[in-house]
Amino acid sequence: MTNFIQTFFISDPSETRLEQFHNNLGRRNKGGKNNAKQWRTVHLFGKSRRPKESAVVIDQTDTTGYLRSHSGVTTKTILTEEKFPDNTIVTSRYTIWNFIPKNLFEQFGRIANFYFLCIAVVQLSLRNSPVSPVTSVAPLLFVVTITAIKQAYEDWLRHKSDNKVNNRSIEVVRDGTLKGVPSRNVAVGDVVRVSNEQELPCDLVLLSSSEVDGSCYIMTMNLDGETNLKPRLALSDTVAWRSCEDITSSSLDIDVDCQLPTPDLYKSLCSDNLLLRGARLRNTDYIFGMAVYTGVDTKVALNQQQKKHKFSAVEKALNKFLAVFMVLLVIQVIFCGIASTVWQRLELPAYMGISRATEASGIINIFLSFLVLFNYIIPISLYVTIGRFLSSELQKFFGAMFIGWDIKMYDSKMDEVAKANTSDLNEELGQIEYLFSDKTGTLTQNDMQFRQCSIYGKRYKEIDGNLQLLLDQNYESLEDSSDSLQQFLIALAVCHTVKTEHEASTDSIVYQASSPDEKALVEAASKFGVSFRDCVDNAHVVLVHGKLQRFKILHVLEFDSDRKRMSVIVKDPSGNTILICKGAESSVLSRAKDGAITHTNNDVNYYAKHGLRTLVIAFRRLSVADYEMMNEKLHEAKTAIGDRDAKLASAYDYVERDLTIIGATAVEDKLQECVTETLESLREAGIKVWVLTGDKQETAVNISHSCGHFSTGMEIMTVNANNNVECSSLLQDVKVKIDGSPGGTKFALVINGMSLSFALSSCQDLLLSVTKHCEAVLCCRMSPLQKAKIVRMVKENGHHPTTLAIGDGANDCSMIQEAHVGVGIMGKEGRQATQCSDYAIAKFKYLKRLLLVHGHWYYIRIATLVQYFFYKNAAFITPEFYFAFFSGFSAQSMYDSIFLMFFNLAFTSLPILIFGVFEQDFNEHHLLRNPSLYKMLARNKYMTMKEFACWVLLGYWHSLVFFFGVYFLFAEQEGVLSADGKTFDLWCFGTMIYTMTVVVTNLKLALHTEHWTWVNHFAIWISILSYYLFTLFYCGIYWPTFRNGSSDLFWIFLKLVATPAVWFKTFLLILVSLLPDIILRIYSTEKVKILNLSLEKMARTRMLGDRLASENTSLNRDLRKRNYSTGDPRNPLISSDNSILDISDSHQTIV
Amino acid sequence: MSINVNKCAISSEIIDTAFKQQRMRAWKPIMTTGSVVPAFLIVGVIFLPLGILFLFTSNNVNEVVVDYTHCNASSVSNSLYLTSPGMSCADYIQTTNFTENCYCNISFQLSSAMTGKVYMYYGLENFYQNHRRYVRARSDYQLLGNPTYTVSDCEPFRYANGTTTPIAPCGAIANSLFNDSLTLTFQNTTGNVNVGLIDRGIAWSVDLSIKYNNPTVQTGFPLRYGFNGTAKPPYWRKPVYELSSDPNNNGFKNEDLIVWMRTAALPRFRKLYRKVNHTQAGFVNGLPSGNYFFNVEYNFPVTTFSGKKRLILSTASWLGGKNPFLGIAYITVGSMCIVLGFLCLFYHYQYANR
Repeated sequence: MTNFIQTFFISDPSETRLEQFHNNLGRRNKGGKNNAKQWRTVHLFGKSRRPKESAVVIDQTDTTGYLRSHSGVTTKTILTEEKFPDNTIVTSRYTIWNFIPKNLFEQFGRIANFYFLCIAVVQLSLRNSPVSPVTSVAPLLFVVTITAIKQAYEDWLRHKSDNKVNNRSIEVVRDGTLKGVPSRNVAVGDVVRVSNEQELPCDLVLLSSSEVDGSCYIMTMNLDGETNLKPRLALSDTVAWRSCEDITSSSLDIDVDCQLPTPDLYKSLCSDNLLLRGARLRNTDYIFGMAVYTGVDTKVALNQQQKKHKFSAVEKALNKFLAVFMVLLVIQVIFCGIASTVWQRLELPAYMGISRATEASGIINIFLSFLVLFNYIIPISLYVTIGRFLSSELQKFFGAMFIGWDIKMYDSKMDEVAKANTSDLNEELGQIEYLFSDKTGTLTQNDMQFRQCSIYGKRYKEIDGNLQLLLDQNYESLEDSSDSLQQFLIALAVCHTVKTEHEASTDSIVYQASSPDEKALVEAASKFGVSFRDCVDNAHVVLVHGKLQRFKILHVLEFDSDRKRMSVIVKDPSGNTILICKGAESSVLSRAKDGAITHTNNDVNYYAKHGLRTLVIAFRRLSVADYEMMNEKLHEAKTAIGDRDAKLASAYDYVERDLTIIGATAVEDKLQECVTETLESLREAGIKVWVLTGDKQETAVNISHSCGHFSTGMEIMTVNANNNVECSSLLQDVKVKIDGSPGGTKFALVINGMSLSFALSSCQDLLLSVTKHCEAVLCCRMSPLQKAKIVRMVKENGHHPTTLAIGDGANDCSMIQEAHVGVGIMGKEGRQATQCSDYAIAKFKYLKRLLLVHGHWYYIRIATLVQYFFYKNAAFITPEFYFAFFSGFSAQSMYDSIFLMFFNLAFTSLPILIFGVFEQDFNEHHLLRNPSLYKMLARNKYMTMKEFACWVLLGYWHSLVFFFGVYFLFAEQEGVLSADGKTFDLWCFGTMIYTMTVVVTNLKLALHTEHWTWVNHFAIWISILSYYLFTLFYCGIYWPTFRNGSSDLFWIFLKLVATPAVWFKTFLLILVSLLPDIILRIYSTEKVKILNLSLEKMARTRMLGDRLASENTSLNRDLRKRNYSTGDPRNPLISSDNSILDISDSHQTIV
Repeated sequence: MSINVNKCAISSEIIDTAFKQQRMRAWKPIMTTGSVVPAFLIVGVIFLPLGILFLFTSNNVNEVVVDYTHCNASSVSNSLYLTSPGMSCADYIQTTNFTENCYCNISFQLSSAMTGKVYMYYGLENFYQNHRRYVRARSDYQLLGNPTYTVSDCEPFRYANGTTTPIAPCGAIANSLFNDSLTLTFQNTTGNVNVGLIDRGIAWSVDLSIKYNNPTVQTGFPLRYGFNGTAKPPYWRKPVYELSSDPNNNGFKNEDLIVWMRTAALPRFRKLYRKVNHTQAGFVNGLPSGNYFFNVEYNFPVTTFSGKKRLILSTASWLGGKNPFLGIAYITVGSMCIVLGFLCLFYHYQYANR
C-alpha cells in the first residue's frame, strides 16, 4: 500500500532519485484509474519558494528522520500551484437557502414517503375521491413538517458547533510572527503552533516540538478511542525550528508530496510525524506543525461516514408481509374495479344521474378510487408517518435506552454501562443462533500476568513475587544461572515499544503499552530486578539490579500480525550491536539457528497446554558489517516509495534470522467473570458458540476447557490439515464419526486457521454439516479476515441463521461488522471494537442479560408490534371491501375521512407503543433462570408466515364479524333500530362498524398484553375513551355552517350511543370477534404452563446433578489440595497443574 | 504527568428507577382454563336470558308488509293510456312517461290487532342510496337555507336543463325523492274509516332543527319568494315550496324530504312515512284487527331498475323493528360460552391440575 506522505521532496538534485520518484509516480498512475493523480504537493507557507538551495527528503516512517542536503542545484520539476480547501469543517447539511428544497427532496426520496405522496397526488387528482384528500395530505404534511423542523433544529445545532470550531483561535506563523487566526483560515502550508492539551486544528506534519529531540505525545481518543499516549517525532531537518524566528529565518524550503486525501485512518495513525485533526497534544509544551490537509481533506472529516445499515430479520420479514398486503391490495382493487365497470354496465340506474364510464380515464378513475380507499390496508404508518414516529421510532428509542439504563449491565469497576450504538437491531438480540466470540479480552480478561518462563531449557516460576527455578531435585538459588537469567530479563526490558509515565506523586513508573502481553513482560522484568526506566534520546534506560544501563535503539521492527514478532536492534552499554526478537513460537523458532531450540519448544508446548500464552525470546549478535548491511536495507525499505510494505517485509526477513533462542515466557490471561455460567446459559438457550481466536491451538483448547466452552463428556475432534485433500478427508472422518455415534453424544470441533482456509475454499458444505452437529467449535490461529469469513459462511448458508460476533480488539472489527449483530467489549485493546459494534458491553457476562432478557423482550415486543399493525389494518379496512358488494362497487367509504385518518394516528397508536415499550412475557428472573425460553423465539418464530397468517386471518375474522354483524342488524330491521321508529342511515352503519374496530383492536392488544403496568391500563382505556369523547364532540358540531364542512357525521354518534340495540349488538360482536383470540390465548397459556412444568422438572434434575457434581468437585479439590501440600514439590508438573485447576475452580465458585 | 482520561462519571447517570430498570409493578393476568371458567359461565348466564328477552321483544313486534311494485291500477288520471283493464300502475306510468297519476288499492287483513304505536313505512329494494356518486350528490349548505348555493357534486342535477338556474334542492338524492302518496283505510262493519296519519315527527329532530332550514322570507310573504331564482328538480312534479300544504312542513323543512335525504346504508331499506294518529277514536291502542286497504298514488318508478316497493305497517319495540336475529345470536353465544366454560372446567380438573 502507498503511504501517507510519500516523500518530502525538495529540489532534489539527485537524478537517480528523481527518476525513481517519477518512475514510481508513473507506475502508480498507470495502476490508478484514468491516470488519476494520487499525490499532491504542499508548499511551506502555501507558496513555492523554489528555487532555493537545500533539499530534504524525509520519510515519515523513519523514526530518526534523516536529511540530505545539497546546495545550489535547482530542480526542473514544475509543480503547479494547487487549490486546497480551507480549514472550515462543515458538519451541517443545509444552508438557509437550500434547506427547503434539499430537505424535501431527501424526505420524499424515502420510498415510503414517496408512496404516500403518490397516494395523496392520486387523491387530489381524482374527480370524485372517495375519501377527502385531507386525510392523506394532512398526515404527510404533518410528518414532513415535523421532520423538517427536527432536522432544521439539529442542523442549527451543527451550525453552531461548526461556527465555534471554525472560529477557534489558532496560532499561526504569519509574516514572521505568531498570530491568532480563526481555525477556518488555517491554510495548507501554514505553520501552526499548538500548545499542550490543545486539540489539533488540522492534519499537520510535525516540524518541531518543545522537546529537543522533536518528539511529542498525542492522544487519539477522538479518533480511535484509544487512551494511551502515542509518540510522534518531528522531521529531523526541522527539529531545530523551535521558535517563530527559527522558522522564518530558516533558509530551508519544504515541499511535501503527499497522497491525495484518503479516509484510511489507521494507516495514518501509525505515521510517525503526522498529527491528525481531532487528536490532542499531551505531555508536550508546544509543537510547530505544517498544515498538509485542512478542512474536508482531514482524516477525521473523511471518516465522517455513516456505517452501513444492517437490516434485522424482523425488518426483512416485515417487507415480506408488506409484499403480501400489496398483492392483496392489488387484487382487491382490480376485483372491485372490474366489478364496478360490470355493475355500471348492467345496473346503473337513471336516478344516479351519471353515465357509465366508457372512456379510459373514467375507468382508471374507478380503479384509482378503490386504490385510494383500500390503501389504508398497507400499514404505511409502520414505515413513514406519525405512526412511525409514535410507534416504531419511539419504541426503538426506548428499546435502546433500556439497554443503556440497565443497572444490571453496569460495571462499577470500569464505570461503564452497556451502550446501544444502533436502535435498529434490538430485536435481533432475541434471535441469535450463532455466537462468534473472540477469546482474548472477551472470554479472558486480557489482564496478563507473568507466570512462568523457560530460560535455556530451565523452567522458572513466579512464586510470591520471586522468580524461582524449578529443578528436578530441589529449589535452588538463582545464582547458578544468573547470567542467563539476567540476559533474559534485559531482553524483556529492552525489546518492546512500551512507553513510560512517571507518576509525579508516587515516583513510580506506569507502563503504557498497546499490547498487554508486552506490558506484562516489562512489568515482570521490573519486578525481578531489571527495570525499564525511560526512553531518553532514542535509548532505553534500564536499571539492572541498581545500575543504570543505556541501550541505544538503532531500529525498531514493529510487530505485525503477519510476522507475529517484533524486534529491536540496540547498541548495548558495552558497544555491541544486538538484535533482540520476541514473538510467537512458530515464527521465531523456525528462524532460530542456535540456543535452546528443542527445550524451548517443549516448554512452550507445555505452557500452552496449561492455557498460558507464550512468547519466545531470541537474540542475534550483529557484527559491524552485518549491521551496516541491515541498516542500509532497512533504510532503503523505509524510504521506498512504491511497494514499501513488501520491501519492508523482505528487509525484516533479512534481519530477523539466524536467531539464538534464549527461552520463552508464559503469561496467564485470567478468565472474565462468570464466563462459564454465561456460556452454559447461552448454549442452553440454543445458541451455538464458536470461539475464534488468534491464539495457539493448545492455549485455546485449554482456555476452552477452563471457561466451559468445552464441557466434560464432549468428544473433541481436531482438524489440522496441510492441504485441501487432507482437510476434506479429515472432515469426512469427523462426519463419519458423528454419524456413527449414538445420539446424545456431544461433539466439539477444533480447527486451525490453515485448515479452515482449505475447508472454506474446497469443502465448505462438509464443514458446515460437521459444525452443525457440534455443540462447540473452536477455531484457532485465525486472522481477522478469516474470522469475518467464518461468520459470513455461517450466516449465508443453511437457513441463514442470525449471528452475533463479540470481541474487544481491532482484530475483531471485521467479524463484528460482518455478523448480524456486533457486540464490542469495552476492553483493554482500545475502543475500536466498541466503535464499530452495534452494542457495547463492559464484560462478556452481560451478554447473557443482553440476549436472554433484552433480546427476548425486545423481540416479542417488536414482533407483536409489527404483526399487530398488519392485523389492525386488515381488520379496519376490509369491511370497506365487503361494503363495496352492497354499494354497487362505487368505492363509497362507510367511514368518515377523519376516521380513516385517525385510526392509525390516534385511536390505536398509543397502546401498541406502550406495549412495545413495556411488554414482558416472562419476568427477567424467569428468563435468566430458564435460558431455553430463548429457544422459543429462534428463527423469527413470531414472524413466520404461519404466525402472520394467524394474525391476519384473525383480522379478517374480526372484519367479517364487524361488517356482517352490523349488516344483519341493519338488513333485518332495515335501519329501524330505535323505539321511535325512525331509520338509521349509512353513516350510522359505518360508524358502528368503526366503533367496534377501534374497541376490538384495542381489546385484542389487551388480550396480548401479559404485563399490565398502569401505563398499559392508561393507554388502552384512554384510547377507547378518547375515541368516544372525540367522536361525540365531532358528531355534535354541525360543520357545514363553515360552508364546505361535511355534515355526514352530524349527530350520528349521539344517536348511536342513545340506542340500546346498538349497545347490545356491539357487546355481542365484540365478544364474538374476540372469542377465537380468547380461546387461542387460553391454549397458549396452557402450553406455557406445561412448558414451565417441564422446565421446573429440568431445573430440579439439574439441581440434583449440580449437587452431585459439586460434591464431586469438592472431593477432588480436597484430594488435590492434599496432593499439593504433601505432593512432590520437585515435580513442577503437579504443582503447575494444580494452579491451573485451582484457577478454574475459583471461577466456578464465583459462578 | 498522568494520563487521566476525562470521562464523565457514568455512575451518576445510572438511575435505579422502576421504569428505567423495567421493573414497574404490573398485573399479570393468567388466562388458564381454570381462571376463565367463571368468566365464561358469567357471560353465558347473562347472555342467555338477554337473548330470550330480545327474542321475546322481537316477537312482540307486529309487522305487515305488502309488496305493491306491480299493483294493478284501480283508477288513473287519463284512461287513454290504459291499454288493458288489468294494467299495473308501474306499466301505466311508464307508458305515460311519468306524467299521469295512477292509483291502486291494496287490501290486507289484520288477523290480530297491532297494539302500541304503529308506524307506516315504505320500503325500497335494489335502490342504491349508498352509491358513492349518489351519497355525495347533495349540498348541505344549500339545505341550510341557501337555495341558490349548489356544489359540483350535485351534477347533473345542479342547474336546470341548459340554464344556470340552480336547482333547489340540488343533486341526485333530492331529485329521486320518493313521491308515492299513501293512505290507509280501515274497512269497518259500518263502513270505511280513514286511518289518521301524522306526517310530522318522522325525521330526526336534529335534522329538522339544525340541518334543514328554509330561506328567510319577510313575514307575510309566501315561502316561494325564498326560492326565487331556483328551479325544481327535474323528476319533481312540484317545486320544493309546494311539497306540503302545511306551511310548517314545507320547503327544505318538509319531513318526507328530510327522511329521504338520510341515505340508507343498504340497497334494501325502509323509511318512515307516517305515524298512525292514535288520538283518533278506535285507534287509540293501535290498529284493531280486521280488513284494511292502502290507497296508493303510484308515482315512483322502480321497475326501470328492477327495484321493489313495499308498504309496511309495524310497531316498534325498544330495540326497534322486528329482528329475531339479535335474540338468537345472544342465545347462541350465551350457550357457547356456557359450553366453553364447562369444557374448560373439565379440562382444568382432568388435565391441567395433575
